[in-house]
Amino acid sequence: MTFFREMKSVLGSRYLNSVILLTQISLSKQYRYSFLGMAWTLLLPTVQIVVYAFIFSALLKVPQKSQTLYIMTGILPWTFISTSIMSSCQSLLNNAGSIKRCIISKTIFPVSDVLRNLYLFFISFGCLYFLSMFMFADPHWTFIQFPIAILPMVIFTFAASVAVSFVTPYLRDINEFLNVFFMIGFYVTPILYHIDMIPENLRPYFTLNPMYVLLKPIYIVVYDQKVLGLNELISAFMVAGLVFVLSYIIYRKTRERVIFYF
Amino acid sequence: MAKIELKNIDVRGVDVSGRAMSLRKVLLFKGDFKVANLPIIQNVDFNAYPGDRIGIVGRNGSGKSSLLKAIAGIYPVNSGERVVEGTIAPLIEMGVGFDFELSGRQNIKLGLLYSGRISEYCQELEERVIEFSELGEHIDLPMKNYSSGMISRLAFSVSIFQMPDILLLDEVFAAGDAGFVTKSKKLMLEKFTNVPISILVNHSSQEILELCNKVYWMENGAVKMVGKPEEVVSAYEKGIS
Repeated sequence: MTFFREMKSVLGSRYLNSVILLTQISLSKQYRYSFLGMAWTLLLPTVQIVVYAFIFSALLKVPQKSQTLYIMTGILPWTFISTSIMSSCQSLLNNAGSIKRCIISKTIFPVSDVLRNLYLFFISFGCLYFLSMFMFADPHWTFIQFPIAILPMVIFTFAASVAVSFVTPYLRDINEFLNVFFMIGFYVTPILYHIDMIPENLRPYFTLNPMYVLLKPIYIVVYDQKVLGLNELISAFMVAGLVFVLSYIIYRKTRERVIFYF
Repeated sequence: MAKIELKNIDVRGVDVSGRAMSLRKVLLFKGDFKVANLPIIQNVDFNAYPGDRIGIVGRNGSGKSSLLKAIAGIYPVNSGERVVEGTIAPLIEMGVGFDFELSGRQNIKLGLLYSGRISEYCQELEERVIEFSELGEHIDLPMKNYSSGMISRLAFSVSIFQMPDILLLDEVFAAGDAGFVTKSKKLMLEKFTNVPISILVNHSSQEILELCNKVYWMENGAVKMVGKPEEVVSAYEKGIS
């Protein structure tokens, strides 16, 4: 029953208004004094994609256009996941002073950090998608499935970020551990290269990678331009669901006494 | 009905200084991971009902603020029973959550957010806060350009416009120029006497005697004495002199 009460509170106006206000403030501060402002949101991933696409198409002799679209499809969601989870390490620690003095839900801090990154993801993905459709491929109606395709990834990221924000005060090494995890994960997940490029005997291991399972529906909708398969969708939701349950257990175990670990 | 009933509560913090070493020992199979507990509040019984104006006295580090945090639910209780009914406004520190890069107007919203009242935000409330704080056109300047008196005025004004069932005050009275201090003190005292339950932590015995009808004396995280203000304050002053 506690779970449903908490979910009701999370969806309540007080909680949502708090999260939205923190997100708005964080966004307005992020680029306030920079010359290019929000344009950095587009510029950084564009440079990243162009560099990777150029290098990999030159090295692996794959068509550059298709490689650019493929990398874009994977790298932006990956950046959203890794940036959100990494920034959530400091979400509670950065707000320790306020948490110690106010009756306030601690989860609003990691949740607003993820919401900010989700907003930036939508902007960068939206712009780059339409740009790439204009340059490389024709838009396809399958893109309307995009909200469903990203849902498991979004659930996963919100849940994992909350868990990480509550664990970090107990184990300060989490930040460095995640740095290594995401660095390795970036190369072992088929983001820069297509899954078909992996030798057939190794391919099953790569397809079992939970991060790839989460990204797979997005590849189907954006890159393959196909209808989402039930298997891929169920697998992605299962990964997200499992992480959600684990994160909720971690949150329940740590939430009360975390205040003493700041 | 608002009420506070704490029965034999214990609050224990954590000594995190040796935590990294303990974890290393676990990983090297040389010991177990046990973090030492620090007693913050021990065996405290505390009751408050509508009409109670409670003062808490005690030396620095005696557990006064921690008791307020335990009542507010900011600190978890390790053992004992904690029953608190009614809305709580913990004024433990003014201006919590203020962001000095933002304007005073934006900080009004932040102040409401951190006091759990963001849903109450409306133009009318914002205008009342600006008017009371006497900041006028300065309200749209970044707070980093404010003097400490201006910050204090805004912090106080954001905090004061609420009517909870339980008011917790931790030595927070307004600072600033004499005129503002007088008017804010008057409003604070009005709130203190009008909300169902008020609890005041203060070093000034005079204020406790003037405002409270029951006083707790805290020492080393425990209640040393509880009773009528004159008796407790007199014993406390003898005890510390």
